[in-house]
Amino acid sequence: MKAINILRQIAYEGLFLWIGFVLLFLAHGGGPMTPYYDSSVPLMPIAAFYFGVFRPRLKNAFFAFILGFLMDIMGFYPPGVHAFLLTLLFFIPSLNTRTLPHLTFNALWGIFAGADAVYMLALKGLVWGITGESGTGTDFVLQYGLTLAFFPIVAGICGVLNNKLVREAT
Amino acid sequence: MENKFFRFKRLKAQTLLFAPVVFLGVALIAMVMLSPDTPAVTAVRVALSEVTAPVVERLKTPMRWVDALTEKIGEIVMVYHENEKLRAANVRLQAWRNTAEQLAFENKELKKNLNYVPIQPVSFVTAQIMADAAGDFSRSKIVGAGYTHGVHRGDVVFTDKSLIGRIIEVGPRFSRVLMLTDYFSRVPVMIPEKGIKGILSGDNTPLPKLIFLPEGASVQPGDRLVTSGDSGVYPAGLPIGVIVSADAGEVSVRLNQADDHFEFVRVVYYGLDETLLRPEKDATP
Repeated sequence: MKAINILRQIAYEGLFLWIGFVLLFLAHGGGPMTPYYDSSVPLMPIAAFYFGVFRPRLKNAFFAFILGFLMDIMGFYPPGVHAFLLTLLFFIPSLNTRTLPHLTFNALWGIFAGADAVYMLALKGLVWGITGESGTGTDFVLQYGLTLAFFPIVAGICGVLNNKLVREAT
Repeated sequence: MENKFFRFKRLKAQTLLFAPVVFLGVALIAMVMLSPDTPAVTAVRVALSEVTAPVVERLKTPMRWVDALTEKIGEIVMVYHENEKLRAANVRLQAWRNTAEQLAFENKELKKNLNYVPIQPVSFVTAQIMADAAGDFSRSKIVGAGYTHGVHRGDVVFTDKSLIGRIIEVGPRFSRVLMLTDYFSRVPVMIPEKGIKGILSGDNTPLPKLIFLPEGASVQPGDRLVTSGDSGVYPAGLPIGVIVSADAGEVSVRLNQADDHFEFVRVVYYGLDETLLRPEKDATP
């Protein structure tokens, strides 16, 4: 019983990290998730945004930073690009804890759409600035669209796990 | 007591604000100081691949079943049309076969006369693809063979159809293949019939581009590309693909292995000069 409680505590404290590892695996280990589309869909921003809104804690900011670094390393990006942007994507919503958690799901989805557009443009801009390489326009539009389409699934899973663990921990 | 409580709350709030700013600063410094090829970054990537590849391999089994099922259904639908196409192609190929046999004979005779010594593979390993690492800015795959199996950095990787890339990172049990379609892939190539040389440059699309062509070079769709052997990384004469479009200064190439539907690859060591392939210390012992 004690062991179960410890496991539950670990799951509760590191939920963002565990979800992040799964998303990292899906993006950089398991291959493309969508048929007929060669690139993986960046799902990590959804989790970073979700936890920025609903669990604005210091350790989660650190997890966003670490997961960003892992994304850079596994995806051959210039190290620090994702770490910077994911921390930012976590940090900015975490400053608005009085409003964002009380919004409807659709409103949050809309805000994420704006934040993700800025995130992706900044990502392309930074990579272009550092390496001189820029992805194709089709890739950009497809990835943006697919990320928005995946938002309800990923945010839903984060929400279910978060609520369950919050209930069990309290 | 109350004062202490509020002081603690204020300190906590300040830490919450301050710490992410520190993380952002560290990330910015990393951006400036490190590059994806930095030895430390490469070592971490190799170590992570070593840990994740076996897990990926296990988890991919159900995905493979689904892939195989959809492929089978697709094949059944396509088989009739394929059959008709194959009959037509067979007639054409018979004519080509005669020409090829004639050319092979002529080639053999010429090599004999010129004392030509072709580069022969020293050794090869057949390995399974363990994971795709397709992202915005990279096209690479992890294969289930490392330096303990005789894989070297720079080894050339083939499918049953054609050349697909070369090994860029080698761990004890797994290696990473840089695909020809990757942004960072640059392969010296030539059109053997015309003697035109250029560089095949990956751009993360299925159709890499042919760049650095000589001034006024006339290339057209249908022209065949092979490696020129100029860099010393790839031996000369390995078939790569065919030019599919040459519009407005942009020449696109369809690779012989145009899709990702392969499970096994052949990793071939040609014994070429490894100093060219090892600009910095890597994870290979």
